[in-house]
Amino acid sequence: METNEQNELVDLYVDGECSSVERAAIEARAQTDERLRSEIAWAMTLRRRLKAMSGAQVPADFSERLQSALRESPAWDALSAASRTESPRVNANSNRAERRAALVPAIVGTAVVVALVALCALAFLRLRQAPTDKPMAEENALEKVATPETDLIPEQNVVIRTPAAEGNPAPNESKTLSEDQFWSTAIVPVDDLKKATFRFQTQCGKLELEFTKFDNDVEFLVRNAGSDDWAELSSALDEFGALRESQALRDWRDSSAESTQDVRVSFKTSEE
Amino acid sequence: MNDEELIERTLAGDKEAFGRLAQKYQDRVYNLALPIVGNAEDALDVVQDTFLQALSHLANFRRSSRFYTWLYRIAYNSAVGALRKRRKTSSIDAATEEFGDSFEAQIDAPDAEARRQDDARLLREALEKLPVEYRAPLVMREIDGANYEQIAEALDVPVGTVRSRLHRARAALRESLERVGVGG
Repeated sequence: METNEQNELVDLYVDGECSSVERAAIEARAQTDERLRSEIAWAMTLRRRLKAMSGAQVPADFSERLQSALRESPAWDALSAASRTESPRVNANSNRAERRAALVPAIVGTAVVVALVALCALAFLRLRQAPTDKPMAEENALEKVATPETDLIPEQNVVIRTPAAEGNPAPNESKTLSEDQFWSTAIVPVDDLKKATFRFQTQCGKLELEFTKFDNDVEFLVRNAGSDDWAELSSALDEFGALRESQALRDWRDSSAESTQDVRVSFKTSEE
Repeated sequence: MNDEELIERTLAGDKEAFGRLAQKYQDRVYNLALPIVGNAEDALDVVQDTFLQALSHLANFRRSSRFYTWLYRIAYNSAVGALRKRRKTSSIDAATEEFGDSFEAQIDAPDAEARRQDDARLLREALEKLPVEYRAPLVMREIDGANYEQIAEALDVPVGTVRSRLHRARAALRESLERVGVGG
């Protein structure tokens, strides 16, 4: 049994998530494999120790404060309104004042939406007229994460470099395979794109990133990523949306190879 | 009354029904939050925040999943938020900075109970050093007994990610504990 495969099976065995065939195999192996027995024993000991940390109860006075806070929560107003809406009463005698009062929130809401659309249109027009103006606040947030020195011009393709991790070779020394081989795409809704890219940059930590922006889509080139780095990032990317990896990328990740590669990640926006 | 009935009554405006739900799960949420945030005060804040948020969003709860996994997801997000807000270091870290090696020597106690407490402290510290995305599935699995699917649903990640993170968490914890002489 290979070490990686064994470690995986130990986890599944200890967690009760393996099949009966796998369980029988690992128990048979443990009869003669001292290292395997030690791994299982350690995992069980860890579980006992962690379990011993539980069993705490919230203090009695906290419990009372919590109950009081829940009773007084403004959420009950919304729940009451929702329950009234779901069970409409037909009242032949409901007066015009009540009907007008019910329309007021809808009218106010519509006015707010119209005002927001007008403001957005105005901001868009101003941007188009003065492309050399200061970047918008949201772009500044991305700028600060990538590199404070970059002068990011909105609505154009730019490249931002973050400092390379210590020990990594300079960009011109890295090996880069063809773009098609190492490509991953995460599909995110347009509104979530900023949050997704910020979190992705945070996840990359000290890895070197090249950032390119095409309207609502962004693309990162992760320089000199190890296969373990990519395994971790791909897990995190799953949280942002549907993740598509090229077969070559997936094979490299699963191989736990020691080589480093440049990996291209694109956040494509979706309509949903 | 089961969770489904308590939720229905809550949505119909029954404050006592939600109070009962909170009472039922408050200790469990507390025991899950405590190893993540590392101290009782923050853990209690997480508990309160969790139930207030759950009440605010109860109308959005999809009955296809268990109430508790949905609740734990709220608790997890709240705990991560609490970790981000926290600025000061723990009292152990601050003391170690001030006294260095001599502080570590002072807590070398000979008797069995003190040694157990010392091991527990070291385990807590090692756990706190884990990135939260590794700590949370480990806590759910080992302390709350959740299976991989429940953890995946609570954290909104694939089951494969849960397996990978659990494996990394255990390996990192072992390395950390062996470095300070806490064996298996």
